[in-house]
Amino acid sequence: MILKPPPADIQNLYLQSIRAIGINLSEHDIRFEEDNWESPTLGAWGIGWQVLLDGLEITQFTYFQQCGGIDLDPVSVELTYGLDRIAAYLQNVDNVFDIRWSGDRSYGEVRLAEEQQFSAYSFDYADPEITRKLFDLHEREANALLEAFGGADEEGRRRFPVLAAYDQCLKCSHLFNVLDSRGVISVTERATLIGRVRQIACRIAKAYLMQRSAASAAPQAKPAEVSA
Amino acid sequence: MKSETKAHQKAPATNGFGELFLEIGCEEIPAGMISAAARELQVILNKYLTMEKLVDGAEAIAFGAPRRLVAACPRVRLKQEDIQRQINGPPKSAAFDGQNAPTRVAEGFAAKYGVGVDKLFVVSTPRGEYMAVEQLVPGRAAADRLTEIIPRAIAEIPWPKTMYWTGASGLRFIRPIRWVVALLAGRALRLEVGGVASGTATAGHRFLGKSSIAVSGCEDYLAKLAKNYVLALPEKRREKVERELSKLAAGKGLRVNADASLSDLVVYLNEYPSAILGSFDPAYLDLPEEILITVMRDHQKYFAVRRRDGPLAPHFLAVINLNRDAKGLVRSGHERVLRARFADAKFFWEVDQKCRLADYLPKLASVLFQAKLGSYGEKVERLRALSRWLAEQWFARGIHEARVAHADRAAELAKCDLVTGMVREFTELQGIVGGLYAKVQGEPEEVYWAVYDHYRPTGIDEPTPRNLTGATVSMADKLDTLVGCFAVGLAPTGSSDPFGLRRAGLGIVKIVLQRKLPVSLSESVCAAARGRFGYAPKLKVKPEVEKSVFDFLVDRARYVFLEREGFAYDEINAVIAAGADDLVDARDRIAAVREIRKTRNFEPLAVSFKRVRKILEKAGSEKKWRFPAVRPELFQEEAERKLHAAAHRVAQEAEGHKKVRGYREALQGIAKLRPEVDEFFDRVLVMADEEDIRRNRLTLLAQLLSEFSTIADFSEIVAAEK
Repeated sequence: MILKPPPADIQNLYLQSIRAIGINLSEHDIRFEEDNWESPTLGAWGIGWQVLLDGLEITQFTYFQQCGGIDLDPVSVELTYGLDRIAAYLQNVDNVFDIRWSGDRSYGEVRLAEEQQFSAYSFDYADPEITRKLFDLHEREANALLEAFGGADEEGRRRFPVLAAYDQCLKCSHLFNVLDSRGVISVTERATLIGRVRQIACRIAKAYLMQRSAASAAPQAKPAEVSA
Repeated sequence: MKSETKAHQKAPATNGFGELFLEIGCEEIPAGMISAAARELQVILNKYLTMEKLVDGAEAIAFGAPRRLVAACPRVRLKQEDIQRQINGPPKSAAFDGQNAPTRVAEGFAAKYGVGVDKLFVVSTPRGEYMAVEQLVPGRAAADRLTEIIPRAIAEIPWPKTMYWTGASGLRFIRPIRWVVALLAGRALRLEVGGVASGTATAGHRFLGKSSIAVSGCEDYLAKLAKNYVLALPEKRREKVERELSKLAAGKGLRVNADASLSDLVVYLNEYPSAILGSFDPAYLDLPEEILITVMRDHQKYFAVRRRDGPLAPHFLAVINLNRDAKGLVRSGHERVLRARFADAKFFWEVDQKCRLADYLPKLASVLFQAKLGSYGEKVERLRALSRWLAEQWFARGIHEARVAHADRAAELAKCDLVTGMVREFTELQGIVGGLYAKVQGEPEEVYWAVYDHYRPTGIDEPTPRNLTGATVSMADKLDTLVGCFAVGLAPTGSSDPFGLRRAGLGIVKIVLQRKLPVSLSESVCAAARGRFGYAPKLKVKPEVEKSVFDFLVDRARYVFLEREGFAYDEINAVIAAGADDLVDARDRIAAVREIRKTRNFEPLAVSFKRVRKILEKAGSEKKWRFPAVRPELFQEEAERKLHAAAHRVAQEAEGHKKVRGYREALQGIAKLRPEVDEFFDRVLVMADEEDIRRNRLTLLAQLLSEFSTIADFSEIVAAEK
């Protein structure tokens, strides 16, 4: 969940959401412990905390400072709720897949097979050669789009599919994760791949801003709409 | 004006003074930074209060809790004192014309300071006579100054990493500031920090207290917050934590596993810390206690609990930010989290040991140490070679328990645990896990403790490895890192030392001194450099780099001698100037200098040596004047002959003492030269007109200086003021 700009009582709002989920705040040990967050592939980082519920991490709370290598102004707050953990806690089960999903089904019955299959794919089955090629292809497509954006005139830029380039970037980021899980990248190659995704991400961020500022016609979210 | 005066009279401690109180209300500040930030705030605030002449001896104090930094100064002037100031203006010659009437220049000057020309007076300065005026600079109201100073002081607090939240050009601070209380003599100061206007209301405990509490000063603040479940003073929180921890442990007939840094942490993690006791399945006690304690301490911030006879008990103590855990919900929550953690640890303990520790070696090839310095696999090869070389040094120099094979094996295994599941999950257990696996897998005791300890010492006051092999591998590891990092331009600069090289250097010095290891520092650096070249990735280490690593180590030694062994800086300088290649020997020499400097002749002799050094420096390049040896036939004065003879005799004696490291005796002998040296300077003019005589005298002094500077360079000794 992203809030931009974050309201001044954001911590309180967050805590009320935890209460709404069913946790009585004065009966539990809830604390904010320092934990900054960084996504090196997306050139994004922020300052914040892990929120602990009786020693269990239930949320990462981050004031983002940079995204795509660009300083945010205003900043945004990102809340990543560990809903599965919170649910397991509330239902008093040790394994998230034992969470009761509905009257007659567990979370495992709904999602376990997919979790297992994609884990098996990422850890054991993904063909490193093909995954690398896919990475290259998506990177090439993103770069080609960015080149085209650079060469487009004002009108062309207004309608340009910058978001599609971003989609390619996300695919690269995902393929990088697959390669990493597969355990086939050395430490140096790891740094190189991260650098490649990051470079696309940063260029896309610039293009996105350029497009937004050029096309004043594009509807901007008003503060009122954001908080609504 | 009138009403303000009245208000001051009502407030306590008037007489023109009042209490300054400041609270910066913040979203949770990282626990490890609060006490340092409070100290900084105190220093900064005192600096401004003094600079602005707002205090008369009183000092501000500062302290903090997770959601607040607080400062208070009991006696601040409500108004700065007025100052009478003299302002110099135009020269007298320009201020009056020929008829001695004031010119327009004089009128202008007087008008500028709002006085008549008749109030001007003449002052004489080194540059001539000038007109001057006396001006009363009225002191400003403290409230005015403070509204300006406080936001500046807050912005000046240094943090390891800051953020902004009110926009990219807004204040940078550790976390968003959400309220500010600023009071002078109980009245609100109107100021703004990070987009927040200051007021008189603080906030209590996030869940147990009121969110808005009006306060009138420090005492009122502390009392009201305590009622709202915030113990603002860290010592109050510490007291509560310690009391409750011991009480809970004692209740079970157990004792708390003392841990000072964990205590510091929980004191700053909680505004109202309360201890609770939880339990875990005793079956987990089969895991080594190092692992159990690390999981509890580093990951959950729990204190371990011991039985009276030593071993861990299946309990833990958690410190929570609440007044109580009435329903036991918090306890059972913490117990569940710990159960999952221990289950992970047990899983890694079993899975990691499906193969032997040495079987992890090949995997180290894909773990990078540093881009230019290669992988850990490569580091291990160098580590083995250097450890063997060091072990050979120990043996050759009389330490017969040194075993090259042990050093080699420990070095081979030292880094294997980096790729085990356990260390990947619990990185702070590096070394320890390897040592534990090596132990279980039947490695010799000397080897497993060496693996276990080889990251030690982890800080200047932390313990060094417990056995010789551990010391050897630890030294080799640190030397290799130092030489490698220096060679690729990663030497520490300023406060940036990402590879912890200063700590590594201190570690080497500490190990050598503590174990009294007979080793040449320069040869060790050289051996590490050879290893850099001999093994992949091949790296040629230039002699300048070796020299800078050597100097770096000597600087660490200087620090240890000064800060930890209590020697004086000039004693250290004198000895290091005479060489510090063998640190143990250097320490013996410093100890001898310290002992001898108290004797009658020593400091005067040091003064004479300084004089000798100055004379020689003035004489210019030695090539121009130095004879191959002193030529007795050129002596003119009895004093020259006497000094020459005495120096020869003393040098021989000193040499004999030095051979058996009798530095005290050698220095005592040298100190006896004082009468001859004094007489020489009384009677002899070194810079004689006749060239050969002069050159001969200079040669005599040069020889004296070099012969007697091998233990310590006396000219570095700073003689006590008489």
